[in-house]
Amino acid sequence: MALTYEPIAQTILQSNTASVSFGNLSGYTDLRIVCQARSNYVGNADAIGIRFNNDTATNYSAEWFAYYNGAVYADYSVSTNGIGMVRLNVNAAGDPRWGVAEIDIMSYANTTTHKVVLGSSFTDQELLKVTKCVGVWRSTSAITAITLYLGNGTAFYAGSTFCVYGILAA
Amino acid sequence: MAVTRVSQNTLRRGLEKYNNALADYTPETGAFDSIATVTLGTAQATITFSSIPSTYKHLHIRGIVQASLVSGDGLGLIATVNNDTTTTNYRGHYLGGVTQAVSVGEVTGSPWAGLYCWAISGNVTFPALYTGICMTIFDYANTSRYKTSNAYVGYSLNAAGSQSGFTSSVWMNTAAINSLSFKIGNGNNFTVGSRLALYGMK
Repeated sequence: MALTYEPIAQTILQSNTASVSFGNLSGYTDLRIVCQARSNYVGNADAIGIRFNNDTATNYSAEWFAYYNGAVYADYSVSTNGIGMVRLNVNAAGDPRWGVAEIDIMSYANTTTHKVVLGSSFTDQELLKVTKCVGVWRSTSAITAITLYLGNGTAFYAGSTFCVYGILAA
Repeated sequence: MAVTRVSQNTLRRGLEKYNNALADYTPETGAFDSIATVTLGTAQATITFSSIPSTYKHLHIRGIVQASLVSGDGLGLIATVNNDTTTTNYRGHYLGGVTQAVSVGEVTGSPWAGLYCWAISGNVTFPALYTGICMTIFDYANTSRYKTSNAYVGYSLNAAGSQSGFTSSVWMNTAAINSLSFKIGNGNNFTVGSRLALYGMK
């Protein structure tokens, strides 16, 4: 019997990896992903993207606000092929600083509603430090697979960790 | 008496008992317990949790909600505590994004007789789109402190008008919280399928 809040998957990258995927997600009401990661992108910051059920069509959108370059800003995206969820660090290999993100996927097994995702991230990059994002996957299908990928970089650095938790409602 | 030989039948019976024990296992209540869940089968104006036990440290509420509207989106969501509808007993602040604009401010007075949770989507633009909410109420059973909450709420319309907001609110009363009633600020109903789950955190 599933517990109210329990870990159901964990990945610790042993080598630089372009994307991370999870399946076998059934049995809960919501999912939470907690990760500590870094991108190999050479730039100000990178984004963790999320897709569901291997859907790469333009069925996603998002709204976010963030602390950026000394001020708070907001923006949105429409009809994208994934949700550019939250920001993470892009420090060089071996740097001890990692970005942290929490992503909540609500009612992921519901087959009558679109899927809402709430995300928060905290990085120590110069420009983008705190980000809050809400994303939607416009599908009523139950989520059976999750893919995390990078918006700009080609790989998550080795050592990046991703934990998936199941949360069960009464 | 030493056991020197075990038959296959004995082993099978033992395994069956072991498997049955697992099937009958009821996990002990831990640090994060599900207290109650409300999923609407008919539209209604409030989603209420009552008789909340005082045995946890904090409360966590999460789920998806949607407002029944004639048109438009973005109506405020509040949680009234212990049926206290005195607006001066509540104060809330918010920071969020609406399309490409940052929205910051304070909510006080009518109609905000509750812990403020930001805005939720309506059922006109996309009937299958619900708003996600994650909310925590800290030290809810403490009888010497006011009650503080934070909430992260948001929805994306795939168009301008999308909203993502983070709020912090206070109920200026030292009584322990024993009920929460979620309402939409202008009195609209929640639609069928709206679901909120209440958890206790130790």
